[in-house]
Amino acid sequence: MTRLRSAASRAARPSGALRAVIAVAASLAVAGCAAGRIAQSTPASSGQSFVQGDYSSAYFSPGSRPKAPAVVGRTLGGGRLSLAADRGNVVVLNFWGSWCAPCRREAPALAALAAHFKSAPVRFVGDDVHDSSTAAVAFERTYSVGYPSLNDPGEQVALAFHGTVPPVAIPTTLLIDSSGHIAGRVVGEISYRGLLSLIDKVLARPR
Amino acid sequence: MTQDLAGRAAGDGAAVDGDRAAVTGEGVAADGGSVAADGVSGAADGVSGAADGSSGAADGGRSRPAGSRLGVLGWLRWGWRQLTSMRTALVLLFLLALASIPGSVLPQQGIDPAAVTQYYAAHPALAPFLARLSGFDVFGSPWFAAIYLLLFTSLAGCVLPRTFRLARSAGQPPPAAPRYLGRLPQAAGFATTLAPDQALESAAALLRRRRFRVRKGAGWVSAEKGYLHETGNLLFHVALLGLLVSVALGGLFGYKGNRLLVEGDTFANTPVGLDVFRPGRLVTAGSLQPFSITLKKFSARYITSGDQRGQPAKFAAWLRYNSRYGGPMRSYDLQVNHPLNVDGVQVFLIGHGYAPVFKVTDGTGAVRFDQPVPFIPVEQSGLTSAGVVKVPDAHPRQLGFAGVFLPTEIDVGGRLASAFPAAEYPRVSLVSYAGNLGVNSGQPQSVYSLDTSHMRRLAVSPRPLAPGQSITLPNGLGKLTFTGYRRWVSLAITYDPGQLPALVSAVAALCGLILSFLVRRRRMFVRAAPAGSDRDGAASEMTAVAVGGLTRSDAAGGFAAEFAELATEIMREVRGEAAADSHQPGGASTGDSHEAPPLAGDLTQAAGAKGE
Amino acid sequence: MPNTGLADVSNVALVLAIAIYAVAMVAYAFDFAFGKRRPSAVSPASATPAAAQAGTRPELVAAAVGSSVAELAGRGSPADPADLADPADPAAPAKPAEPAAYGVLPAPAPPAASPPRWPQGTWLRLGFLLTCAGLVLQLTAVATRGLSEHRIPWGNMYEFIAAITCAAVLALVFGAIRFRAYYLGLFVLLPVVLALAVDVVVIYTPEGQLVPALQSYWIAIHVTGMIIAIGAYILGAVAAVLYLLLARYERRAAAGQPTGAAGIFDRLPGADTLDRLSYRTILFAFPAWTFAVIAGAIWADHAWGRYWGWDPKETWSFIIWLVYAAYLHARATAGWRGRRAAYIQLFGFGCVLFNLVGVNLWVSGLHSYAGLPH
Repeated sequence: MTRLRSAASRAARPSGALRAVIAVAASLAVAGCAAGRIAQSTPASSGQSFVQGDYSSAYFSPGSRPKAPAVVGRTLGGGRLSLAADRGNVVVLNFWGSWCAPCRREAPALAALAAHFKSAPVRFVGDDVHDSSTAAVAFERTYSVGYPSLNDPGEQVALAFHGTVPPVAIPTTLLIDSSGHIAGRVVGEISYRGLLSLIDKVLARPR
Repeated sequence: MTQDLAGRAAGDGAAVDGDRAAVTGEGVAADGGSVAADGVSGAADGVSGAADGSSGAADGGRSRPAGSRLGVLGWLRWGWRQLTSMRTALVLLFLLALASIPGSVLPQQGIDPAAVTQYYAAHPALAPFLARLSGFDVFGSPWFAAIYLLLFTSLAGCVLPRTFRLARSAGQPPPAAPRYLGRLPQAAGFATTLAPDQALESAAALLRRRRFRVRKGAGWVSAEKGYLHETGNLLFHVALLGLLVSVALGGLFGYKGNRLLVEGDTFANTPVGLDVFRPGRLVTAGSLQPFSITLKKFSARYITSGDQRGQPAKFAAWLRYNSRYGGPMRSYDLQVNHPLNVDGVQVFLIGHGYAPVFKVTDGTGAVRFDQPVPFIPVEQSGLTSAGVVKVPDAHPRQLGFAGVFLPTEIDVGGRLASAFPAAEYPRVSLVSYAGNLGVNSGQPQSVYSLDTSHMRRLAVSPRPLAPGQSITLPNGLGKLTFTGYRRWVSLAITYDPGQLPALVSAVAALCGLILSFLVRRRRMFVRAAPAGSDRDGAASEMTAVAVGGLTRSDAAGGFAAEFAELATEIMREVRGEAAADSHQPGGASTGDSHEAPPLAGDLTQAAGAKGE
Repeated sequence: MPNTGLADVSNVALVLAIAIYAVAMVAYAFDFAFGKRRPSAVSPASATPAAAQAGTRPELVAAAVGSSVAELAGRGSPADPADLADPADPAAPAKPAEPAAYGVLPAPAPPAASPPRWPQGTWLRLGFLLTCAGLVLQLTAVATRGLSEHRIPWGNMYEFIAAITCAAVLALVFGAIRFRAYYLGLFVLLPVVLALAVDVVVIYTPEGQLVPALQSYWIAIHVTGMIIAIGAYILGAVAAVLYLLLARYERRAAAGQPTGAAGIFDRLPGADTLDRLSYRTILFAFPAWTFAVIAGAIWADHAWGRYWGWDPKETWSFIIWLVYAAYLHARATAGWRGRRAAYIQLFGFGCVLFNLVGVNLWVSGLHSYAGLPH
């Protein structure tokens, strides 16, 4: 049978070799994805009950900022909040949960930043996901959070950002410039300095 | 050289002439393929291989000229031929089967991580060693991938050229008839009064009626049928390649997610909303379909009597969902074998349990916690469930509680157990802790486990709580009330764009398989020439007709009978026409319509007697 | 609510079936001991190697002999280039063919009468009749069990084993009629009876409902396909074992060494026939298994969200598929036919048994529906 194949492959040698190359290339491409592990964004031990992201910080220059959705919702205190109403201010939108350990650790830094920018055209807004309002209010009291948070147990605000720059983990912090476009995103726990410089950058280049 | 070939071909027990094989190499090669050494095709193998100069020398070491060396290209070509040979495919199939065995016997990380942890605990020395060999992730391991990739390369390298050959030769006529039909594995001969041309025409007509593709030449007729066999064979193997591509598609662009949803809650299909998110290599957060699901109600019915008491009878989850932010809501009744399909994503009901509702008041008197807490079943017969309550914002101390929920609580000699999975007598039994939960440090924790290393156990009477009852914590630390319970469901969200292509490939493979098993390739050859003289040497006016038959592989047997039938029919057809012809006025009917005339018949018996 | 009356009928019918199979086995044994030798049986010691190779069909003998004579005739003048000229070459003059060469070919004759369709001999007839009677009873047992539970009767290990043994006997009856292989009766019924005995005594589970995961019409498709395929695998394995024994017997007889159990082996056809029979069985079983695996994948996708998850039972189904595919490749590879291919097939059958018993009892996964208390 091997001899027969040689007869045939001799007759069809160029295409035979070409087929071989394609086959090997295809198999290597598949090996690249199949042989490795499927990337997981949670640690192997289940029970984390949330998707944790690796830290990353992104800034979008004015020409490439997608428009933020017009989010309207109820705050934990019961009032109504609309992001669009903040036109003219830079909005720092932080997705958090009272059960989320990194959110608890970054809470003092966020509160301090909010105080720092109190007289600047910067508004801090929280979005409390996958949480109960009782526990969330208790969190706000513990960390003396001075800015309002949207009550978003069904992650609808996160869903509204689909197609633009969505939050990909808890915590995620989005920066929306004064014209209502998304100017930056920090995935993971923020640092005081890091978020400070990012906010300054967005303030400097508002639109 | 031709004499050599003829001798060798004859020596192999089959008989295709050397030169002819070279000319008909294409035709024979088209069906020889990777089938080896089955009578004629094996010999044709050898012959056409010998006709191919260089490989005839290199193969099997038959008559390799001394001092010839293979260059790099030669070695590559040899390696490629070895890889795409049947023997290699055989070995690789076996290897793949053997390689899958540890994946089924050892616990696998991707399927049951808890079992892996247990294995580590049970075999502390062996487990790390196995882990380094990818024993707990066999199907994602590089060596498993190497085996199936080699197998598919071998498959592709064998099948794709044959597919192109088939496409080219699909319309081609059958090969020319061999000279000595007697060398074919099936052969028969008879004599007739019909002229050779007419005899051949008659035979050809019969073969056409039997749906053979017929080709005529000078003094011979060649017929072939069963082309669908090769088509089916190649369809099967190519479909397997398609299956591999589909699996790769799913691995690259698909994703899986899990979400535990308590009655009344909603979630959105975003990384923020999923408990577990396993994307394919090329999946980003933006490529998730933006649907939301609310669990309105979950109900479970259990068998209440008989031997199967306590076994689940039926589950149903009533959902409301929409497929985009702000879109219209629809209802769906989700059941175990009845998934929800939204925008190509499938949502499955894979688990359920109880979520007791707790209200915790801290030392300051304010309510710091008031929500259902999902408890996870630890056994199936009574659905005893374990869980943890964490109140990180309680003052002055953070509070933590760990315990069990018993749907139908009974006391078995001092131990608490649940007798039935429905909540007929729900009770909760908790141990209370105060101190530092560890959540403020930023390290993520499992919501189902409590780290008590920095907490102090509180002295509270251990009685189980009924709905409405409370535990009052000592030292004014607060109070926990068990206010009721809700149900939760566990949903699996999967998106696999390769799913439909995989199904199509699998079905195509099955069709190809059945086709190749049902259809057999057959070749029939007929030669007719004036007999010249009969056995005794006297001059004869008759025509000698020889019929030969060839099949690609006769492993299942049965071709001999089929050939005998066909040959007999040809004989009857030809002789029938001869008889019709000879019924002309003035023509005397010869002994044509009798049984075999002495020319062939006696010699058969003579031949048979000689062989005995 | 299962109908206990019908379930009792099912149990009784199954036990009766076992008893009848046992009697059938005795009848088959008597056939081997006392039955007349049938003409289809070939005594290996006296057959020529050519005839033994060709099985028992006379026209094959003639053809084999005829072609060797033709070779002699054909080799008359090999050095004559005109003889070996390519007839397809239109330029070559049409040369009158050698009449003597054609003359030595055997006359076309209708295929020799195959062995008679129905079993010959009183004991064999009795054995086969009892087998059929037992099969009817076993089918009744399976059907009444299903009726009593108002569902397809393969939801746990007890029912599954009852079903596959039923499929094996069905395959036996079908194969016996189709391939004229009534001699297989004793050898197939032996494991069937043993398996059923263990099933009824040790594995028995009373009638009941299916867990919700199994409440789907797919059980009729996927599991039924598996059962039919396993029945055919059983038949193939029995034939393969017989082939190996016969091949060994023929080898030793041809070499003049002492052989055992000549009484039975003499009454069986040549090893080649059994080899071919086992192959044809797998030609049916392999596509059936492929279909069942595909159906299982479709059902898994409906129930668990993915069509393949390397669950242990899925993995073993895959292993079984690979091994039988290797068997089919071996049948087409020089040097791997015959004994080696039979070993591969038996290894595959071993995997089937492990998949049935080992995976259900010792390895836990999504497929753990054995219904046995742990």
